[in-house]
Amino acid sequence: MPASLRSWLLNRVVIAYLLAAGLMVIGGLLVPNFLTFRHVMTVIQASAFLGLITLGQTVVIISGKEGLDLSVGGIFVIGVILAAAILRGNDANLPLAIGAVILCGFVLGLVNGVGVSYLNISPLIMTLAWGTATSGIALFSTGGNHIGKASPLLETIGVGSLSIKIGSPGISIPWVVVIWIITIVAAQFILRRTSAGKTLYGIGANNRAAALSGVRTKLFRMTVYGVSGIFSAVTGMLMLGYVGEPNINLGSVYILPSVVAAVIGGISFAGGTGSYLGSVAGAIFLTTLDSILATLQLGEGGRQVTIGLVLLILLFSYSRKKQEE
Amino acid sequence: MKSFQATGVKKRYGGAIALHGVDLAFEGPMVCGLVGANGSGKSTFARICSGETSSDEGSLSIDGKHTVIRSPGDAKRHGIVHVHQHLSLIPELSVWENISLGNETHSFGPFPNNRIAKDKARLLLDELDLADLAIEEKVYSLTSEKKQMVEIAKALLQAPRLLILDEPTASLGYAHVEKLFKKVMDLKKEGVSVIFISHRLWEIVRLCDLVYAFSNGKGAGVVDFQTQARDENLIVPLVTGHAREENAASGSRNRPASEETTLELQAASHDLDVCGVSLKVEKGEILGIGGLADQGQEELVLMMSGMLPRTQGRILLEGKEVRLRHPREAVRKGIFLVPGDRQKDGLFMNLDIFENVIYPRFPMAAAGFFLDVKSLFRMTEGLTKKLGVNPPNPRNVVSNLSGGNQQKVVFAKWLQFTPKLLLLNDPAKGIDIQAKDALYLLVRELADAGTSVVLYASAVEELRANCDRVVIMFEGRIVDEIKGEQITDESILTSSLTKGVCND
Repeated sequence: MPASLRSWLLNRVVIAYLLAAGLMVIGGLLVPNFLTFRHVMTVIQASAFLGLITLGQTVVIISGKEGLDLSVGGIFVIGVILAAAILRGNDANLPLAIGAVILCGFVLGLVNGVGVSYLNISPLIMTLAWGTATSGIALFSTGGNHIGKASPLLETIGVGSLSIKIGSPGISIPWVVVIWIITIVAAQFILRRTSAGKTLYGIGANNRAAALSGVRTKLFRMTVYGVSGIFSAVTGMLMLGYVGEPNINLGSVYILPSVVAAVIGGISFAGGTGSYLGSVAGAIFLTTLDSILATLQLGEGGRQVTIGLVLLILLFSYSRKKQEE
Repeated sequence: MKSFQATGVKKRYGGAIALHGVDLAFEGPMVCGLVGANGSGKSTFARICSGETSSDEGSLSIDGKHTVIRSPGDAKRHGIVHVHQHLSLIPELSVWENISLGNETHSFGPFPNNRIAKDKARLLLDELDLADLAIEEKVYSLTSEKKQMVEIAKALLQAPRLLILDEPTASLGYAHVEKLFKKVMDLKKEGVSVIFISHRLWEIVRLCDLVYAFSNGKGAGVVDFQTQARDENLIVPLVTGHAREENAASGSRNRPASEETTLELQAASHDLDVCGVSLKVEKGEILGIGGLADQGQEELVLMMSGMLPRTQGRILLEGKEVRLRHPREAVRKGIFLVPGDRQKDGLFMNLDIFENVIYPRFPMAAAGFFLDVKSLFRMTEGLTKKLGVNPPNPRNVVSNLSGGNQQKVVFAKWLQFTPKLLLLNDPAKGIDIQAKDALYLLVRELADAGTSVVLYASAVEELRANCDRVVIMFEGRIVDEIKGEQITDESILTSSLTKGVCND
């Protein structure tokens, strides 16, 4: 095998996509109709919600200093209920809702940023605590009741599809997936081709060298947590479009998968390396696995055991590879 | 028969020879001093005696018996205990736990007897005249001075027959130096010999009976105060005399005095490391900062770069006061630092040359938000070729480069701008002679083009060969200034060793 092909195949991002594709094929063998275009799109649509949250998680981990955001679930739920409460089923409120959700996500994320960056609290502790607190705020402010609901346009975005006339029946791509694809392209561009993206990789790779180059590392890292908050909250709003009515239990399922997806995609907790493209593959992998297990009707216990084992095997083989390097 | 004798001790680290056959002997009990410039091999010799590193050739004998010391455990069995220049205490443990660590008394099975340990620690500290130091206190809360004294107490618990003190007074104030000296004299009366390493000649003169001078890994002479007068002038020529073989003046030093001042410090201080330093750096001047190791030179440089905060005083850049609270402010004003530890502070080791070189553009907004990768890449290529980075391809990951080439990348980061003031913190540390010469040639070119340079170098000849003016620091203060033709290895070393002695 030529050296260039070999090094390309050993690239963590490539491995992550091969894994996701392989899992899709396994799904096709085990489950009838799993590999139809429609079903694959459904899986990718479900991946999009995880994938968008994972973008925030990815930039936080790249920013280094043991970066981690476990508050994504809590801020996500705040996004869900805030959007529902403002929209109340009326499209006219959509601009206000979008603005409020973005602002709220940013401010809630900044709280993490202040704790981590300026108060030197460990990201694990800080975001875990703040995630718990924001979930509590969600419960407290609604009293557990459904207040408001999605507007028709948001629901269209959440469940509807963009139809493209190719061939006789045409294909349809869910709007959520369209949004995700645009986000992936934009994120990739910003991370690779702008000052902000390069600055991010620098503070993750060597915080002191970045500071000596003139970067306000504390301010920058704080902002990174704020940006992660935006992605969580906005994804919550999209999820409201998908489910229609607010539900405060939606967020917790994304907390650990968002970390795991980034890790499968090749992000290192040391910071300063990795790309969002890898996390995208990680999100698709996890969602596909979940989907296969759900259709196999293993039951909740069997599902969790299987997911746990698959992750252990993956992480084990990754750490082996790292040692060899 | 000598009580301690070392014969022909040689040691090399890779290509560098640290010791070329050193002989040393004394009849105990005695205080034997070791003196010499930085890197002359004193500490290496001490490490060999205490088994922390092994000699390539040579032998040790104690009380006339040939002795092989392969490990610190061997040394301990022969009663040799080494107190390090760099402290080896565990900050989270208390004073008594640190003192007894590795020397516990067991009265019942595997369980150390804490009461005995505490009593012993108390007794040792009392003997060192440190009655006010609580043994329950955690070590991290102690001053560096107290830590050093605890370190000494820890060594004394091991009941040494030969105690090696490697620059113990560097972090001690006057009062504690006296306490230590008193203890050393007591030890001698009890029959314990001491090898005492210090840069401070007046301490050597007061305390030692016999002094061995080291120079470039060789013995440079012996002074025996039992027969000779206690005079530090007997030692100075041994340390400085044949310190350097080559002594070529660089020739480019006769720079006409400039009217313009780039940077001015007015009584600037950083805690106790830099105390009220006032100095001016002229436009196009290369100003050296010399002195013994750790006299606040690096802190001074870091303060000018905005890395360390100023606790007092003012800094003026081209006549205007600047605050320099963060490196960002310095960088934006054209003050650039080449840090002492390029791997830790200077470079992103796992990124390539290109990413490293263009990085400072981002905080300066010199690259814009959207990057023109092609033109930036061409710019980087031009810089790597100009500086002779080898290999020149900007896509090479920095960790694969040699030390000299890494340092060139650090320079390239700043040379894409026009530096007003370039701060060099020991820039030639760990790089070979050719790369070193190339770097200093570059620095001279920059200075000729109008950049002011502040150079801290641990090696005296780098200061001598490259500076227009050298200031000597001692305990955070500037104690001397040497200009133009007067700059020689000898004048810098003599000033470092003798100035500022009794200013307190």
